[in-house]
Amino acid sequence: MKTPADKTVILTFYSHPMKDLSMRWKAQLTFPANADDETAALLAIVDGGGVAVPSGVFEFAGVRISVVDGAGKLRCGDFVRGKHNPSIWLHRPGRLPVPGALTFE
Amino acid sequence: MTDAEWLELVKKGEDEGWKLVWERVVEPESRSQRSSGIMHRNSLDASDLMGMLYEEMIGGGKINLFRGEGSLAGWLRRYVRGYILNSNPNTHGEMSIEGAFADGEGNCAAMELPVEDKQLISKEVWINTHYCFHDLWMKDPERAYIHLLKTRFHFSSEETKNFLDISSTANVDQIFSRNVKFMRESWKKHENRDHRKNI
Repeated sequence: MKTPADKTVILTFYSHPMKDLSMRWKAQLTFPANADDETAALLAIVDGGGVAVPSGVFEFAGVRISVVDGAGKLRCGDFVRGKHNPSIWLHRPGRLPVPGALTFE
Repeated sequence: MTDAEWLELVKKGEDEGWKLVWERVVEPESRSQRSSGIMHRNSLDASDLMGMLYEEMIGGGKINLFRGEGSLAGWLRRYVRGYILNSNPNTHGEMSIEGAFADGEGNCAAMELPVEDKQLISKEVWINTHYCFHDLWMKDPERAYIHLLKTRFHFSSEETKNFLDISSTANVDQIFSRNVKFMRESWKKHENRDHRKNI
């Protein structure tokens, strides 16, 4: 995996539509320019109200990423290894896990 | 001048290349019977098209999507035509009713009022795009990544290949081409859905 020297990629994921707004979430995964397999892509997750998720686990590309204060990290190499895995879940303590997907944004 | 030479000039934003864009694409299209009426109704003129084209091709990097299939003029002209067809009179320019006549009296053009809510249509198009993109994601996330990288981030095939560790640029192009077909099919499936209840 190699990102261009002059481009940063931000992938945006949303939870599936939920009637209960408190269950919703939005995650953004940022791949810095010039990244390779060992570089960390930065994850930022907020809830439906735009507040950083205090703690949880973001399950993405077959990897369970720890989230603390709305932030987490994923190795770019792990992203590529799990690129065929459509399963995305946010697990928060004391709540049901909520699925999501990549959006065209 | 060959298409390849012309393409290079356009990519570099050279006056010579963009002069040909005006002469071969924008000006003829804006005078064509098919487009001139819509442009008139939606308060668009050829200089608007030229500005849009420059912004999209150079600013947005869309010129990199040209694969040399067919002529450059034909490809650009299709792009311009799509822009004209999707132009939105509710957001572009102003509609004057002072000089218009309701029934075309006095040898003047009849006043034409929009009969569709363009804002609502564009919202439905946007929602439909998300439905189709989600279908693509469920088919194979890698395909969705390729679609996103090439259309939203303006990645070249080489950059997409490196980002996702795909074996070759030809493979990237093949998958992208299949994605476009898939999205078209998916669109048919979703277009009859009543999106208004979701807005």
